[in-house]
Amino acid sequence: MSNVPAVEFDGVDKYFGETHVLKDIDLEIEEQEVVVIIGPSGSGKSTLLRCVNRLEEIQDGEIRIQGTAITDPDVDVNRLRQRIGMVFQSFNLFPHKTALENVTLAPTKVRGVPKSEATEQGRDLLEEVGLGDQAESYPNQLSGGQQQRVAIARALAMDPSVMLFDEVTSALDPELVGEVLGVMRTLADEGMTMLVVTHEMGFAREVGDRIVLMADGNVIETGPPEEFFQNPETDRAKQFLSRVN
Amino acid sequence: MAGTYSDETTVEEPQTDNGLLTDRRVKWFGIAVAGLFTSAVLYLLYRILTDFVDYELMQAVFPRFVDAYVLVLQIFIISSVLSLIAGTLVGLGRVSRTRFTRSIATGYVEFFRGTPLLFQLFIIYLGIPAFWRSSPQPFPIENWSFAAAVIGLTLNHAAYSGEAIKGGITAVPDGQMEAARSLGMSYIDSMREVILPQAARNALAALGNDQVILVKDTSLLTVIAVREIMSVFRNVNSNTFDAWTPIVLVALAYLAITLPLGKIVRYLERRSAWGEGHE
Repeated sequence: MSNVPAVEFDGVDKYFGETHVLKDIDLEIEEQEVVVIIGPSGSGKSTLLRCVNRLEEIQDGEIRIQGTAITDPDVDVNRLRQRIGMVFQSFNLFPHKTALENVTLAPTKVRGVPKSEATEQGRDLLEEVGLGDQAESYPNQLSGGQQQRVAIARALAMDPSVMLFDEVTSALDPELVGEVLGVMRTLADEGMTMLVVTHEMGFAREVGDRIVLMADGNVIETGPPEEFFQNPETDRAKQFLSRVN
Repeated sequence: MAGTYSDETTVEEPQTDNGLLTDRRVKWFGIAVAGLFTSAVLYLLYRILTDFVDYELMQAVFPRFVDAYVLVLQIFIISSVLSLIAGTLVGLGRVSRTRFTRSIATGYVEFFRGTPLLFQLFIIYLGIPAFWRSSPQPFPIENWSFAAAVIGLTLNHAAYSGEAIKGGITAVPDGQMEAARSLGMSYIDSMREVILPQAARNALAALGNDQVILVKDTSLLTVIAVREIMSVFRNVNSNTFDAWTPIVLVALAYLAITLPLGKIVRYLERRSAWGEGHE
């Protein structure tokens, strides 16, 4: 692996109107690293994620993907987004398309992959997330956990170099959380670079290479899971951990 | 983890009416009113068809109604397709993030919804040929009343369809566009593949409604010399003083367009269920 970080935040500032939601964020995510971002709601975790693929614009600083600044005027935002997979809290599957069509749409439309090839790849991906038998189902015929797994397959179909997970289990019934986390764990084991915003502390501890605690738009503390959960350095981290545990 | 949850579908059937929420007295009142209404209509219809319709006259004027019907059907189909295409553009303009585009689309809708169709038909039918008055060349379009009819109906109904489609687009959750764009799809691809199919379903009832109104609006075309259904009616009526014979034919002609239209709309509704409620 090269020494260029997969994702790099360099003094990133983000405002919603008057509200300063990201305050001078510096953060590096190495290739194949799984970084789990935790923190209370409203701390800017999701916004941080959404800035990476420019669903939100930053006002100051720079975000670099494999060394390329995403705000560079030469960067084609559609090409940039192809390299960054994103999975949302509310799944956002396309309801008028089957599971398989959800997965094959972007490769055929954006990459011009022939339909037969995309279908084959799509079936493989659905198989990987454990939904090989649901290829022809529409999203509203699937459970939340199944829908979210299709959403992961859909993002993987573009062969991204980084995956962003934005509270992907928060909208799920408790008994369906495990199947989605299972898919994410497999992805992490396969060496995918992942940026995960979650409230699942068990997952953070077990799968994360590094934990980032955010509060009020700041990165409060960052460190390997064992250290972070056993011996948090800052009072803010101690306070947060005492509340979630 | 795989497959074990496949029986966990989130499709929930709406509670069917089990009668617990109905009131027996209201129910019988409804049946009485509907029954009375039906008997009155059937009696009237029977009297009309036996005593007031002249079947020889009906046979004689039937071909003229068929001609008018075919003409109206042609105008309807062409205007319908064109107004849906133009309406989609109007709808996209109405949701544009660019203020200029949005206000032009809004102005278009305000004008065509805010002035009578009759007036718009005259603008086109009389107004456009007037540009040629001072020129040495004659007005080039031969069957101008047909063309003017199509242009007028298209422009007018593009405004109504546009509003319906705008409503349909607005009702699609923002997450759909975000998901499409975050896959690297362009704005145009996202609109075409993801947003518009859902918007069309959301707008289907309103669009179908407007298409029925479009059929009925062809009755105004008599003022710009289109030999449509109502003009044949008036002609027959003033020549024979018979009212009910041509009335029956007019009713049949319009219903022969609007009833199949309703069927098409319901077919499209079923086709866009996307797995809801069955399987």
